[in-house]
Amino acid sequence: MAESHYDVAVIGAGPGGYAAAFRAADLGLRTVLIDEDPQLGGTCLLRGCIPSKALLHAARLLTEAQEAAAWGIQFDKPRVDLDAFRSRVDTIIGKLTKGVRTLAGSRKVEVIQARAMFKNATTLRLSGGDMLPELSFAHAILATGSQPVLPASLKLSDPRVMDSTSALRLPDIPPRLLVIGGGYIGLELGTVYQALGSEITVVEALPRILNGVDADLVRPLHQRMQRRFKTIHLNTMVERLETKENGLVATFSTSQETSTDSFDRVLVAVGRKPNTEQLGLEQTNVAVTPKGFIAVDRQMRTAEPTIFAIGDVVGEPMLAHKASHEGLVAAEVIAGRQATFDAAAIPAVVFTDPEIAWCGLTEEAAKASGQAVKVARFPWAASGRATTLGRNEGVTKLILDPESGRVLGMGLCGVGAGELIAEGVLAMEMGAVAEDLASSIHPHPTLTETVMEAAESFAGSPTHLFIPKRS
Amino acid sequence: MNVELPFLAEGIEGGDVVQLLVREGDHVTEGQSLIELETDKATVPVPTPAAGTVVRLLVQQGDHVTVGQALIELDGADGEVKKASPSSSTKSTKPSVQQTPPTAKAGQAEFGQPLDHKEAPPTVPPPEPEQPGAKEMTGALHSPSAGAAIPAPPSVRRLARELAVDLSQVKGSEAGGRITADDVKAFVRERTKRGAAQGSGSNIFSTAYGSERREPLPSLRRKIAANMTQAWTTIPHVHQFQEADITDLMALHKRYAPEFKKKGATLTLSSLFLKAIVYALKLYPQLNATLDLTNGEVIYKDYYNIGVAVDTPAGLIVPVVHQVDQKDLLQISLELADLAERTRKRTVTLEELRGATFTLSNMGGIGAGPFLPIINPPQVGILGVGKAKMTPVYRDGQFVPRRVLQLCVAYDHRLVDGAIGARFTNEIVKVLEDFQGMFLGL
Repeated sequence: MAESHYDVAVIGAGPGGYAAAFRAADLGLRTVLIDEDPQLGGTCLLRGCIPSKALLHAARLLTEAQEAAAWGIQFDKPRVDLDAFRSRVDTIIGKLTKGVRTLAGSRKVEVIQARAMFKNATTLRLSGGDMLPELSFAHAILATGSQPVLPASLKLSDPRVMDSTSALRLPDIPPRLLVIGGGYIGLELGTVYQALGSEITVVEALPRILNGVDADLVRPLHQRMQRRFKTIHLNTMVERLETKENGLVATFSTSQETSTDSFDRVLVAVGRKPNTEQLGLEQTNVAVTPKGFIAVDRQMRTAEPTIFAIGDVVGEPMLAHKASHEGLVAAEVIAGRQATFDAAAIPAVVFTDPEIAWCGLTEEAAKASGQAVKVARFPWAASGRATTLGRNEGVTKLILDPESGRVLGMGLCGVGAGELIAEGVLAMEMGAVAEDLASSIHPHPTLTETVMEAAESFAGSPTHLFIPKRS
Repeated sequence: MNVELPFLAEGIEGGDVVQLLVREGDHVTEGQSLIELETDKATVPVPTPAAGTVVRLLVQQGDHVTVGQALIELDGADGEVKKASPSSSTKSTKPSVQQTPPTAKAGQAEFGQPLDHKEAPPTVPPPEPEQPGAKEMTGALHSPSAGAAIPAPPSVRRLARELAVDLSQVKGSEAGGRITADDVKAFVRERTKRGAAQGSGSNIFSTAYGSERREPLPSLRRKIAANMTQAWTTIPHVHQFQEADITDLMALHKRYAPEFKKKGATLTLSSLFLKAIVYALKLYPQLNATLDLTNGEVIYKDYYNIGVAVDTPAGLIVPVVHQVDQKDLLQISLELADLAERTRKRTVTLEELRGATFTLSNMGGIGAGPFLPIINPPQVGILGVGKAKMTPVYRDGQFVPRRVLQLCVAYDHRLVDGAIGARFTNEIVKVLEDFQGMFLGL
């Protein structure tokens, strides 16, 4: 009993789970971290954020080499050694997952490779490993994450129909790739395969790609993709997918017509669902919403007092950094601290080329809810740095309170947007007003100046843009 | 109807509201716990006598309430409510698993039993968190601007949580209504000045000499203060010192402690002291008695229940080992460990805190020296022991190292004369110095 009893048992070693386990251990709690996978890091590290960013980095090298022609620099057509490429990505993953294990060890977090199921509100049953079959805990943190959804109509049991996990493994470079779903996963992987030489077709059921993101931020990306991709079908459903001799034949339907086209591979990226099944939750009082998410309060407590839940299993947005923050909150609450999840903003980044990033209130959400805001926009056409990069298509905008100028949201489209958004998050968390951003000296020449100049336009004209006064 | 704080047990006049377990608008079923009350003995849940809907909460966390005081306004115990509740009651009935206090048991002389007939209460009932309402627990919690409604940096939000400040009530002093740490502190100062403090917030005052913190006196402390004042001002204490050479006792302890361990018990000096006390009490019944000045009587007790002072985070609590004379050392050791553990966790029952005839205060564990214990009325005696010291003892023409314990018996001089008190004390010493002798009737 004494041997297998823990203060905290964390189920799932993704960025939410391991952050929670580490903080719990740092706060003096005896902690165990359980994951089915022999490698730690979860979806993010093994089959999500990290491998996809490695692939996107390579894609960018290829694209930039191609676009260097505009600078008078000519490269020969690059040759891609897929085996070397894949092994490079594996090396990156291996390095990071080893890092997580080392950190767990130095914090005395016990790591168990097993599948865990609740036997009751204080006991876990373990399977799939050679360890004690059960362990008991004072508190558990459920961080089991999510997995890609594959709609029944698209299930072909054909390896050429891929989800994000299999697409990240780069089985080959298909001449023609169909991407079903115009969300961030589909667009990022589409970008990778396009750079490697595939001809990309995107199908999105809604009227636009990246639904939920302000249209003016999506426009520069959409325009560039229209040039680089073969087609982007909007308002279009994939009615059927069939295996034929010449490949996978998809039948598209819009409100007007149906058409067919054939592909060498298909990537289905229509969403993710929480992993809340087969955890023995029915042995506990943990409440699950109709969509399969676990209901929690702001302290990340489930309806079962001993069990907490964090990350993708508790709801959208399914983002690693949200999970990590929630993990820290859960660990601190368990340790008796006054923690609560009250983030002012959770940033979101689409790592396409150009990148799109935003946090807080969007312009369209403000409009929909009737909230009065002032939008301060700075086009990158007026940015010196963007011009030197040859990437003037970007835009930076701030969503501001019309009275005080308080930053309610920020949106970016352009190269490096994912790095720039951090300033918007800080501004929101600190309750900054436009004047605070405008008066902070930003380094020249950088893209960060676009944030300062956007903020300047709240009260008047920024230096590099003249806005005529309204009479 | 108003639900009032019921009679909980004899001598319990009220307590502090530790936690509200229901909210306005909640449906409650009969027997469901409404509040958690910290009395001066134990923390107990208070059940509702009828089902209905909570219309209004009449008390808040931190309030001191007395028996008969209204706690909650409840709307009608009609059938409609009863029908409506089952769907939502799967979870809300859970608090009732926690045992309700033995309300009508005061007159019965049975000890401990009443609580054990249902499922045994969990050894550590975790503080029941507010059942998170399904409505506020959906993914909506992460709407993009969730925390942005109030302009305050995360560090200030944390400060506000720690000081129990609702930020929506604080006026920000900076551009855009931004709230600073100083704004929060000023709010707390103002709240304290108005006397509207909610009880749990730490109330910092600065004086000419430095900063001070004011905190309400918890119920338990108030009770201890009242008892001690009464004991010290009304009982003429005699403090009888004596030394006991416990070298042999320690050898005995060393020899048998592993045997006890095998049976899952820890043989402590306290268990041995209890045996010695009872042995001496049997010889001097005046010390196992109560003085009834009103009726001009002495009440001699034929039972030997010894209170054992336990240091808890909340303060001194004295649970009682009942009928020590009828139990062997193994039983006493097991019971004492369990009792002390549950006392520290405040899960000990009221019955287990009552009925003592004599008290033991053993401060050896914290390395204390000799001290003058205070009698806990209506008892007339108490034994106080500190830590034994290795002392040079003159024996057979030379000094030998012996482990010597300085002990002190306090007795009520109104009932117990010095000669009896001294003999009683010596009897305890005799047992401690020759424990086996007790069994030989020496």
